[in-house]
Amino acid sequence: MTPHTVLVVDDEAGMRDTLVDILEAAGYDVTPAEDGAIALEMARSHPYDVIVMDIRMPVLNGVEVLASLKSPPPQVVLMTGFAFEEQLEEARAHNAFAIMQKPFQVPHLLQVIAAAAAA
Amino acid sequence: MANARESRVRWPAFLLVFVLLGITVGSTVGAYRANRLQEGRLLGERASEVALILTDSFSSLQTQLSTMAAETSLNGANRHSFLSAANALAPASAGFETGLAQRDPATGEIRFIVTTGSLTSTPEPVVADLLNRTLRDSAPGVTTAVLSDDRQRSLALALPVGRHDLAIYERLPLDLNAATKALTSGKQFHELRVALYASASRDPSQLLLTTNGSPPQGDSVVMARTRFGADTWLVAVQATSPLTGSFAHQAYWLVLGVGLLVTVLVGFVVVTLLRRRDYAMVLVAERTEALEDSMSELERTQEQLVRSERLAAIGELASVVGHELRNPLGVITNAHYLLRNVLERGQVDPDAARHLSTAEREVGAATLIVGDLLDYARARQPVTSAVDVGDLVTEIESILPAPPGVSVAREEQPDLPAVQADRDQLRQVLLNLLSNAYEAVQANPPARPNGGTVTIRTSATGGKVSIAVADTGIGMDDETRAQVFEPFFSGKTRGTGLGLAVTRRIVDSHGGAIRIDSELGVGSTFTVEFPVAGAGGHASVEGGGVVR
Repeated sequence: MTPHTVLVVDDEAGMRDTLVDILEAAGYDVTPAEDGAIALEMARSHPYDVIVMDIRMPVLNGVEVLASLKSPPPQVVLMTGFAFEEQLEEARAHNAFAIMQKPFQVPHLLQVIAAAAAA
Repeated sequence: MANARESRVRWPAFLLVFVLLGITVGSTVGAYRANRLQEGRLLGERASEVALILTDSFSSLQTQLSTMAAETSLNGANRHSFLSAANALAPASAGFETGLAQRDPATGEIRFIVTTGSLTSTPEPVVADLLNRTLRDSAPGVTTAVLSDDRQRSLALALPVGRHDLAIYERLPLDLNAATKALTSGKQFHELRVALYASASRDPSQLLLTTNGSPPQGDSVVMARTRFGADTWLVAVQATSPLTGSFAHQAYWLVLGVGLLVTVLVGFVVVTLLRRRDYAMVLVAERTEALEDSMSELERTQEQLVRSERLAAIGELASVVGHELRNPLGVITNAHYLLRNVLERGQVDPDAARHLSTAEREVGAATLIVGDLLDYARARQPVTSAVDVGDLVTEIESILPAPPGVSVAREEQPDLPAVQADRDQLRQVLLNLLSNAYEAVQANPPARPNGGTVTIRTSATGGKVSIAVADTGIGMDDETRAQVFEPFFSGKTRGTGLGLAVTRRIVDSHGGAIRIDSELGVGSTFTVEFPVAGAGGHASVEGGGVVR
């Protein structure tokens, strides 16, 4: 059985690198992206099963990337340290699979991603 | 309150009305008195005039008596000479009764020697008194008396004849009605009531004649005395209508009326004006109160605004802290998870060191953020000393090495003077500017495929040292440039937005200046100026002098 593909999007290198390590250790096929624009391009060229993405990013933020994804979209798990209510509502409106509040517990994130990959 | 003010305002009005009333009453009394004085003076003049006229009308009697006396004396002063003169001058047919009287030198008794009419030889006592009076007077002249009995009144006159013991006597009836008629027809008497007495006082028995049948009575009677022979007669005069004219006589009523009218009008006008003023004052008070109300309302609104602004600032702070601190905390959490995995596997994994340094770096980032916030919240006064800028720039470069793709150049003026500054704060300013410059260059990779440059330039002019940090980064538009010094404003996705706010505050507290030159897509230059140590008004104390 081929592993699920996950795109990890965060402009913050520390978060991005640790997530790549964590998800690879959990058996996913992980690809990192440094910002929203790059992520959107990669998502269009490759059908990822799950996208794990920060909301606050330069160029395109997480909610804007989510809104621009073509159907059928992959499951998107958004992460944020702090987001305005409007952004959260827009994310829900675009069927974000989950919104994770940083800092999150890693086992919880793994559960959410597993659920998203299975969906 | 209002009543007190009203009474305070009213009393001048009352005083004014009181004064006007006083003037009115005074004027009225004055007018009344002046009129009465004039009236009295006029009446006095008329009384003298009337006395002369009346006395004059009796003067023919005196002349007749004198002539009789002269003729009697001239012809021997005996009964024949007397009768001859009396019959010629005072015939009994005309109502005259006459007599020649002699006083007995031994007894002093008076007896008539000869008489005409109904006279007897023994005179009645009143007539004897009259004859005695005329014979006794040192300056002899006619003496008079009014005699009355049940039938009629008559005027008696007596005059000495040559010697001191002889006198002639004459009596004629008085017709009061005829005299009255004659008097009232006279033009001089038409507005007078007059009485003539054959005595010096108003003796009713001596009343000679009167207008209107009875003598004038009351306070308004004016009297004038006049000589008649050896006697003094009295005239009593009263005006039947005011001699000054009825208008002049009543003028004081006019004065009183006009005075009262003026008082009432002035009082009315003053009270109206005062009421208007009161009304205006009440209006002003109301308006003032309303104004004060709206002022305090404004103050309340302003306080609410300040409060809500503070809340908004707290919200902004929450957003920044939330985002900036939760990110490193998230990374630390992840790093710890990974380390635990490594430890659970029980192997010495080369990744463990990497995970640990990741966690350490993030803890450092979080510490910096907290430091930024604390620096901003707790502004510290600079403790200045002479600081060598070149040394400080070298130190900054070692703390904050250029990231990949960015090169740092230095352009230094030789023999740059030291600046008067708080070394720690100046270092923070330069760290902020340099890290901003690095980030601006890194954010602009497409424009500089071969990497960007950050140039640190120092120079000294006019007591100031300028330190410019120029980058070839993304640059700023005007809107961004206008906001960069606002707290919590950030052009980056990472950052508290406090760096430049703190920077400017430090520069300001040193009496320095900060300037931005920027072009979008080309780059930005931040220039700060600090005073040269020992120059201008800044104390130069090596090792720390407090400035400001």
